[in-house]
Amino acid sequence: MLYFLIPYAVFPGTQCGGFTAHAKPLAKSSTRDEKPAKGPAAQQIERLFIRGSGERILQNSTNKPGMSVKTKEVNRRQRASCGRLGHFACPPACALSPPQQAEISIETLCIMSSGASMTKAQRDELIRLITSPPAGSKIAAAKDFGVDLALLVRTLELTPTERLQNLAAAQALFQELRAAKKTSTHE
Amino acid sequence: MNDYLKLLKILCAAQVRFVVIGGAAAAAQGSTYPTYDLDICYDRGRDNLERLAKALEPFHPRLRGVSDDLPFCFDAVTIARGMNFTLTTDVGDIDLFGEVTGIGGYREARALSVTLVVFGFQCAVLSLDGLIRSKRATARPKDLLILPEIEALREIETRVKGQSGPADDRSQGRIEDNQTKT
Repeated sequence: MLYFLIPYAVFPGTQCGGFTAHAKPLAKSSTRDEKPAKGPAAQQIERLFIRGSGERILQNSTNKPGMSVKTKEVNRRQRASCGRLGHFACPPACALSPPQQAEISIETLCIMSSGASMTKAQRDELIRLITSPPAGSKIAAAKDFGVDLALLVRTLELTPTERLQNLAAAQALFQELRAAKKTSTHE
Repeated sequence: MNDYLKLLKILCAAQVRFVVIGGAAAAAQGSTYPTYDLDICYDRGRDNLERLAKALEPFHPRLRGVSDDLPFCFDAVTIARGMNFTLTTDVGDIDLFGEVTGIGGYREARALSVTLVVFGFQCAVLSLDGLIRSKRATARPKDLLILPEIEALREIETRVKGQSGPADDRSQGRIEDNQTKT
């Protein structure tokens, strides 16, 4: 299941830029057919992703001495196919601006996809409370009042520092909007 | 825009005794409501007033919402003569409270605070219980508006804490991020 979460998990993090501290420079591969120079984390992602048939293809598609040209060509295509699958596990280059282009550690991915460093039980309980608040609880009351409980999940996944950074970013946005309104020619 | 990092860094570096209260305290603990300033409850001990005045002085604190022509000298004597100040500085707006409605002074606020690591600094932040008490006592429409969310956060905290695993699993836990009851 992890490989379904990875692309989803990578993009929010890169958009908000809150996870760059965990990032390491990504080694670029020159062509798809050459063996890509990937870091251990990317290799681990790829291993997780292609577990099963993909893994067999990679293991079997390694060129060995004495192989015919035709076999080598079949292997090359198989590796290219796996490369495409592997590419799915990592964000496409166009999704990231150059300074952000980075390899994200497995630990970071876990934090991004599974709700910070809450234990699984804690996160499960949080989701359960948000999706079906106990009747008569304050959570249910807040929902009835109009509080967006889904937003709470989002903020509770952050550290206090990240929450205040978000707040400061929101303030900057409001300031921009106010300034735009002042300079607007429309009434 | 408020530079929370700078404001907190300034106060922490000067060893000012304070508790973060209000909207920033709620936001630091998960509230989604925006706020535009940093509210703190400060200790009114003489040494702390000196530290507070000295810490903010380089950033030109002045009264917010009054004419710039109005003479204002921000020093320990001024703070001692007053109680609550709404200030604007070069690094953002900050409200200084000698007393918090529904709670009391610094000592009471500190007793109701949790310690959070914010921007690398250990800051005392008014707990959700403290915020609920304060908001209920103030009872302005904007306080009553945020109250249901804070109460929900408090309940979530209680219930989710009950699901806690081993302590080391939560070393970076967002729910309890470096919170310790003080």
